[in-house]
Amino acid sequence: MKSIQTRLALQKMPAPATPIIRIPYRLCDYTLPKVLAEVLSQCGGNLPPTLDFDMSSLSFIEPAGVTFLSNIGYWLVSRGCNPRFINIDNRNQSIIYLDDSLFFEQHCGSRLRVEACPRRTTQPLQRIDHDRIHSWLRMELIPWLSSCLGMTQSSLSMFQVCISELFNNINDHSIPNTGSIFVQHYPNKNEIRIAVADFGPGIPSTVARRAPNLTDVQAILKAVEPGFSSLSSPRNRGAGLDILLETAVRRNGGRVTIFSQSSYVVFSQQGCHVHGGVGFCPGTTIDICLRTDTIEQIEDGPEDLEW
Amino acid sequence: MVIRVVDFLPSADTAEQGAVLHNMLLDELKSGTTITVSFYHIQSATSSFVNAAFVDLLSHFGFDELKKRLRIVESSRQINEMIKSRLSFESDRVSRDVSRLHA
Repeated sequence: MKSIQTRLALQKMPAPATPIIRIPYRLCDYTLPKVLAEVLSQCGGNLPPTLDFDMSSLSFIEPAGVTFLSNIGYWLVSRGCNPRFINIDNRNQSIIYLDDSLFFEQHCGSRLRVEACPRRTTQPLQRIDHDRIHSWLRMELIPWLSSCLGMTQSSLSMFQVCISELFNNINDHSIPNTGSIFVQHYPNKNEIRIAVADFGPGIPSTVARRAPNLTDVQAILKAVEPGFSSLSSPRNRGAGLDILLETAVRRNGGRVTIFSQSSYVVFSQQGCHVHGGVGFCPGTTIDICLRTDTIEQIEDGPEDLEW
Repeated sequence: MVIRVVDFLPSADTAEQGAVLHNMLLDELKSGTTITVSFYHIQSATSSFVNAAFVDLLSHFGFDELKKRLRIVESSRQINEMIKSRLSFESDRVSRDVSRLHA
């Protein structure tokens, strides 16, 4: 009898309103982690069946924002929450950019505009698993970059390896072993932005297996130390992130930003800038900014190794 | 003895692929042979591949011996730098660990 009364009472209760998360005016490094923090604070840790992202304020989005938002979408779906993107204005340039990046095709099932298509200066958003990434890099990304920059593929292979290293990390640490990647060329700024995101356990959780009791910022700094490995795979030797920083920051003079859980750290030749307790990032998002004017032209062709 | 990587592996991207080359190298090195490894048609190698293929050999042979008995040819600058830097770093690490043990 009691259970019937409870059931009747539940039926009379209005359905809970779908929480609405307002996407900020600028979706860039310092606003990215705040998006999901707002979700979690509204839900008290229990995700609702549906969550609405209000896109009406969005006016500027960085490449890392595209992968970050996409990663949040997949992360929510993996936890039984259906994200919806509402108040979409097809004339808004940021919405058009997301549409051309194939964001809505991936997350809403179709492109918003008939004419939406990837731009000449982008490699559209890809959700790609470890088995396919290496051939995609070799067959798609590097030939495209080579054509954009007028450089040999050998000149770019060190950057290809950096991304392969990130996906090898995803394969070692994450289930599923899938990541999202989006690439933007800014010819006028002499920059390439490559953003990679996964929703694995995140760097702090992985580092904690070997080095517990670190803050999230300390864990990110630990993870990039040469030779530090969580040993989640017996062959790990902790080289991947160090190679990324060596290649993209120390050699190229670019910038790498690593977001994970509550923090992010920006690495550049000027040093590293830490930002702790700024929100929440599921898994890890890595934003690589490469200078195109410092890449050395290397002739394609074999070389023998001289010890 | 020449091992042409492309005859056995499509690329040099993963630790699993590196392990295949490692097993071939280990067998030959144990038999006292000098080996030439050709990276013909392979443009790049990740640290995971190089660690599994070459760095793991350091538990059987010293870096100086590997330098004498391994020739890397038809490679690329990226692959050569990766092999040299990974072997050098891990060899130094072994030396540091040994020094610490005896300190």
